[in-house]
Amino acid sequence: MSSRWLFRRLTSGVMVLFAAMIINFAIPRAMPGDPVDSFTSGVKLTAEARQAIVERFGLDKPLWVQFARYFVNTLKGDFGVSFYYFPKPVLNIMMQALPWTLLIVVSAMIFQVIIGYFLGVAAAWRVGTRFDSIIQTVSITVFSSPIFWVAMVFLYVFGFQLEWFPLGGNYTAGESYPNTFAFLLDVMKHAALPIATLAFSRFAVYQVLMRNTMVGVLREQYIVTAEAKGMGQFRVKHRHAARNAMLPMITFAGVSLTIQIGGSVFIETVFSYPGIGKLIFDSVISRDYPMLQGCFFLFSLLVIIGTIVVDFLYLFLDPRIKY
Amino acid sequence: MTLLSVENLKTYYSTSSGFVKAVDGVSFNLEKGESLGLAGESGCGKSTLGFSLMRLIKGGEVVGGDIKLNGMPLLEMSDREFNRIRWEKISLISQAAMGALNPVYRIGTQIVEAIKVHTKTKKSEAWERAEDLLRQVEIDPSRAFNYPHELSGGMRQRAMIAMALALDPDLIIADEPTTALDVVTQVQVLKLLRALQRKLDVSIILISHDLSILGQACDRVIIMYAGKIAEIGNVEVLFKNPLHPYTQALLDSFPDIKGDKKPLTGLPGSPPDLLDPPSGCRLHPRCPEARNICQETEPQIIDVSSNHSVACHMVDQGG
Amino acid sequence: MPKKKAIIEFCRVYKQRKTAVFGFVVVVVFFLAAVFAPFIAPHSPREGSGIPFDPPSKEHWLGTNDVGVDIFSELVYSARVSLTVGFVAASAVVIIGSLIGLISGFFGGFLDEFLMRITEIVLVLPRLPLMIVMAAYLGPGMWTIIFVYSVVGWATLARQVRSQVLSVKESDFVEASRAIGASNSHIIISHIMPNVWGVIIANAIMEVMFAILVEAGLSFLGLGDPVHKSWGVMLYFAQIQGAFLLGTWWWIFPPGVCIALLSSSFNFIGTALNDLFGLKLGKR
Repeated sequence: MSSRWLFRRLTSGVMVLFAAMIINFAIPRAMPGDPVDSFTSGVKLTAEARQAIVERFGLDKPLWVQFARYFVNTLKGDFGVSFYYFPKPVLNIMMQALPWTLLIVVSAMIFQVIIGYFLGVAAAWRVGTRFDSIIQTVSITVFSSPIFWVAMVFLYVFGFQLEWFPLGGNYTAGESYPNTFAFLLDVMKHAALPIATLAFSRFAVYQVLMRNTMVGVLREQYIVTAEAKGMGQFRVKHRHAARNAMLPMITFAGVSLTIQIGGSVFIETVFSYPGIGKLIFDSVISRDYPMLQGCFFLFSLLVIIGTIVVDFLYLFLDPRIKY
Repeated sequence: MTLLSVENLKTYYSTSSGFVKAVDGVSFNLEKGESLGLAGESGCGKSTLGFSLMRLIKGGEVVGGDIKLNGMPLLEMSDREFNRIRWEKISLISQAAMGALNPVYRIGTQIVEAIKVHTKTKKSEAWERAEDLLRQVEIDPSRAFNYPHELSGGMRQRAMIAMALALDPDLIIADEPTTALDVVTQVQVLKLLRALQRKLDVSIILISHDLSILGQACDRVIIMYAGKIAEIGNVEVLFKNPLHPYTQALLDSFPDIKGDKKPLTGLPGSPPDLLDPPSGCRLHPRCPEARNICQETEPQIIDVSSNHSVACHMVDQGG
Repeated sequence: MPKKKAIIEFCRVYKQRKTAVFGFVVVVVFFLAAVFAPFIAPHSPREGSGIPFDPPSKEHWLGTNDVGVDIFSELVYSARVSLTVGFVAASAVVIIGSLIGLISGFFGGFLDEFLMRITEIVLVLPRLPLMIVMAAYLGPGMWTIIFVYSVVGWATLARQVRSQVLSVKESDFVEASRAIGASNSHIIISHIMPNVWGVIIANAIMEVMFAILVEAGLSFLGLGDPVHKSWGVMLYFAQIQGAFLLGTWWWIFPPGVCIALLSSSFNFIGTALNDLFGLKLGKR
């Protein structure tokens, strides 16, 4: 791994984070009218509270002083205090919510990748047939359906009508569990529908990526070699073709992880699941700006981590890659 | 002893406008330990013929004829049965320099895979065998742990040869095995292939558009034109005394110094459309010596001597 | 190939794709519904015309919502918002993206470097959270959604247009035009544009789909116009009023079906165009 590659990765990461900071800093200050109003969405405040906000953000100081203060605070992980959960710091609340979101998104992604992989391989193997075109049509339709609506339908059918799953939350409130296993089971029961929704709604991109790359790979010489070697169909398909065709899917998975953590706002809103997405929804409704900005910064950070993880994964999956 | 006999083989590709008759009634025999060359311009069906023997035709199929290996009818086998023939009896050397090796697996892994799928060899023994094979093709055994992209084109081609020998096959089909290599490496790889073929007494069908390659490495050569055999004969006889106008033209276009190919100077026009091939002798629209009969009847292959046959009316009539 | 013949050939190939034809028909139907909404909707889309939570009946084809508004009428009028946002936001994105891509690719140098750096950052920043933050400050409404989508949506197209411009710029006929002293504007209009418009059109259709989905999403989060409701806003109210806990499926299903139908239709059309233009571009 060359230091040049490392340097480029780091600088581009730093640049993105810096851009996120500038956006966070600029948006409230770019709004017309009294800056205090844009910080509090025009909520009527007492003179002291007003003064406190002016001092907190240094609104009476020159812009560059304000930015320097904001910059240092952000680096320290101080995103300010939530309006809604006043006076709790934004960071604490985000960190409480994040694990629940990760539970849902990461589990759903495992399913998405598996479904996408198998459907994509099957479609590519029979490219141009009726089977292939049905898979592609279904994928496009599902991909184009709004995810929150799919969640509502799932909740209505499997939660409300069939009563297979609880209607919301992350575990049963006030329940005392005999052991850890019972608790975990309850958590899984609550997470099942959100995971199913996310897996169902977003497998399509993986499928399409897998199929298109695989169609190209199947024309490669080494596939002929594998067949000539007398490998069975399964081995040719999975060990030789799919192994090469899955690289773009892996790249996408890294990008997609952060996109889907952002997209969890829809799922968690419908299922009242107390992750970071629900936090965003509540913050939109209650105009909790520090919280929204904190979440935006957190996501920017996750994006950068995601791309770096994918780069490392690639090192293992594709021996031709050298950084 | 006859190893392989091909009888009236026909392989057609189906397209929206009809069948492309890529191989149309080809018969020949191959002796054990013999090296047979298949020559012709691109699109003459030589590769299709080679791949038909391994049942590797995509977008088309063998529609007629008979292939027997050691007396076993290959075309009548189920896919499952035939997968055992592949590599155990017939293996393939294709253009490893151009991506015939899987880029994500180590060289050794790919050789070991062939051994493990076909035999009940222990993994450690299979690795030993792989290293031994690499030694035979003059590659340092430590290279087994390299990925294809870490080897030069010539080395990749040798590794491919090593892999083809892994299960001691009776027949190796080598499809343009040296095409992507530079001239010096070409010669080295060919010499190696020839030496191993003689040492192991294995039969080879060597497919190439380059007659100079076949001249170096083959006992006998088949000249194909438009899906049919034009001429077949021992290398020395065929090269010295070509009877078919097409063979003559091919040999005329031979480069003096190994290097740039010359176009087919002797013949005007281009190879025919195999969707709708010409009547009679397929060469007649391009043939300088064509007569009426060439348009009307298809010439049969006749033996001129014990090791030389040709399909041409000129020869037929003693011309 | 003469233009007319090319168009006929295009239609012939297009018609072979059932999903693309289906998409086209759906878009036309929704467009007509939006234009003629006052004639189609049996009731007012804003004022109550029946009892709350009335299930579907002859009077109210799709029932009523929590304040007795006829859902079918609401649905028809909502097509206006979704289509407006879809087309306006997509147009903005296409214009911004094409211009940036064109300028960046054609002039190159420092300007290119600068614009592509910005493009890269916009591509990497998490889109949805950024749109939410901006929309939350700007306050809910249709124009807010159009604005935030335009700000974050142009980067992909800019990149594609740039690479297309770059490949055309190197070609012989552009070099030749330069040699005979053609002006920049002449080269762009008569040489670059004809080779770029395929990429732009196929992307424009896809942008409409994304804009419709983003509009629905942001509206669902309460960032849409609560008076001129879109399908997303309808679902927002259904959500906060707990529609599924009341079993009012007729409030939940129809808006989602409309969004899914419309956006997948644009997706089908866009995919078909992508393939068709891809084929053409490949032949050049």
